Amino acid sequence: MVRYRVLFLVISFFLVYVYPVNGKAVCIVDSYRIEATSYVKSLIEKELNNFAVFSNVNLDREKVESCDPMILLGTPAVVEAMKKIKKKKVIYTFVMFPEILGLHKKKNFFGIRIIPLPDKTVEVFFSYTGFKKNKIAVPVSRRTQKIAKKYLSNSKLFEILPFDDDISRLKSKLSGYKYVYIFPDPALLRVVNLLKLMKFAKENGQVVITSLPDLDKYGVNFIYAVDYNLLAEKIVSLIENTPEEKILPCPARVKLWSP
Amino acid sequence: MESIRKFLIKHIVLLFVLAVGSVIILSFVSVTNLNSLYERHLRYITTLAGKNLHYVFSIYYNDVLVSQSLKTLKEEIESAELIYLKLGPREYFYPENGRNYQGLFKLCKEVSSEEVFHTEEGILVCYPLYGEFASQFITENRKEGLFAVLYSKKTIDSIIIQWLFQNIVLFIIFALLGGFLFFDMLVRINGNFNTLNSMIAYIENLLKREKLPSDPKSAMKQFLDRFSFKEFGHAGRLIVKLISRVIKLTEELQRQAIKDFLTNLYNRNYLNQFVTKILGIVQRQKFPLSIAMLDIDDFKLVNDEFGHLKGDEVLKSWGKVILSSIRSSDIAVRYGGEEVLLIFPNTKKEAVSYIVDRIKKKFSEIDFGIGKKITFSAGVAGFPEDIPELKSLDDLIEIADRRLYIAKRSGKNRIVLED
Repeated sequence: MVRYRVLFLVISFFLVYVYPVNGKAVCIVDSYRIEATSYVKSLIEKELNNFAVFSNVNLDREKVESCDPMILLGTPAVVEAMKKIKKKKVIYTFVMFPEILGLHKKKNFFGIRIIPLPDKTVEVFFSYTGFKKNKIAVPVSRRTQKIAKKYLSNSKLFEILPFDDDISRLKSKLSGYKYVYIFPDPALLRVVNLLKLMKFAKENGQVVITSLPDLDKYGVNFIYAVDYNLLAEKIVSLIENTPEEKILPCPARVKLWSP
Repeated sequence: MESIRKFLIKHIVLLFVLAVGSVIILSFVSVTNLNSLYERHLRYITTLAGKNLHYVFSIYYNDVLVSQSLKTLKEEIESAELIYLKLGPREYFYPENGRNYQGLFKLCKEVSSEEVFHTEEGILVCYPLYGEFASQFITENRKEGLFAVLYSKKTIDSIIIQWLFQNIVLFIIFALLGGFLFFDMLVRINGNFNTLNSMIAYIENLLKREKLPSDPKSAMKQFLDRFSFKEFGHAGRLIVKLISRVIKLTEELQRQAIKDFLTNLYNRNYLNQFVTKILGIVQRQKFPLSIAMLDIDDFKLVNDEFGHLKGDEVLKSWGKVILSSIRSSDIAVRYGGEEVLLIFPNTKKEAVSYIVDRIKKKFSEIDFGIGKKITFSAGVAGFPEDIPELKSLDDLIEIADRRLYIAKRSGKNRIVLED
């Protein structure tokens, strides 16, 4: 019995020191370097004792070897990791459309959505405001239409209104809706287009809903968006845990309701 | 050792060279900074104008609106020579002949942010137009167009030339003013040095003279008044003080060399100098010369009985009486311990008898507090009465000495004129 106890103590001693002997650290790659990613990165760093930060998106084999796991912030880093990391655990976020990249099929990639799914957002919207469910217009450029269809197909409330470059041409179609959902479409989110849309929506008494956290200054009415503190916590928890889902839902909260 | 004048000139020249060097370096640095500032200014103007046009044309544009906007912009930016705008596939130039510079604008094709090119045609500033998004989550970085302005080099050149010209003019003004100040400073310092040199030269000449002036201050006042710097004045006054002290000490030394300290009568040293001079004159002019050899009676007894201090007191009083009794042309020499030789140029023996007698009377009136009078005996000799030819003063001294001996032997306190 004593012999087993001694053996247990010796093994425990080695287990405690495996991490430093191993020399591997959690590596963080911020490929966007925007205010939001910097904030999340700082939250993650606070939680970790042993970490490394890569400033370069190009992931060298040597660098990757010394990391376990890798936390990737932003699509460019994820795209790079998809090419270079085959087995190592990768945690990612700040990827707008992970399914489009095929990340849900990658065994070693675990992601957290950076924006809540549109149907979740409108569900929260109706329950939060108590408004009667009604059709929601989703203006989307033709370039993004395909992606939008993929993310909006779950709910029958959404009606995609495609436009070319100038949203002004959608005015007549838009006027028939009470709610407008802003899909993360680069063409729609061009400052000029968004301003035009907001002006039109205000003039017609439409409620504008979005999942993007930083549109409050443009006069959007309802924002259900990511909570960075929860996001950081979730990322840190993924370091130790391996969930069954490959893409975890966005840890979001209602950020704004301004009728 | 280096002269102060040379030192000052050397350092002023060095200072001038340094000033010129500093101005050149400063000008070079300033021109570089001005160029970079101007470049930054062009960058800002171009960015601002490009951003503005991009916003406007994001809402709506047509060919007429674009060319009109570019025209207005060119009129507003004076130094802009050529404006280029690319929106999607369409290219616009203002003025229209700018199309000839298409090759130049190819430089802008690859730029990812605003950039400046210095070309032969001018300064080319390129500003790529990117879409601007409402959310930071949209990181798409698609170039939507290009805005570029070719600026004339003349503007910056004229600014630099004007700036340099102003600098040169200012430098010349400062150099002239500085030069005047230095010149004035040099002249004044030089003047003081010249005065000091003249003073030193004057003192050197003064020290060569046999007889030094008794009051050098008044002679050197002219120099002291010419000093304009306090320090030079101090040095001058110190020199005058030192010279005065030297003169005083020299006079004292001279006096000590020819006079007896106790009696204030001339000593044998002076007698030797005097004899050579007076004998020559007497021999040439053949005028009479008389001498008297005086000796205090029983002086040894005074010393023995009343001490040497009393003896000294007697000798001192005796000297005083003698000096107050003889004429300024007569010479009194302490010849021995209590022996005094009186020389009377151009005086006959009889006259000498009167003078010596006068001394005798005065001396006998003094009470030395020893309970008795102190007397002296005298032997008198004269030329030509006693010797037909005066070859040496010793001949007369010998006769006077002999007559003194006679006086002593005959009972002392008397004057003997004949053997």
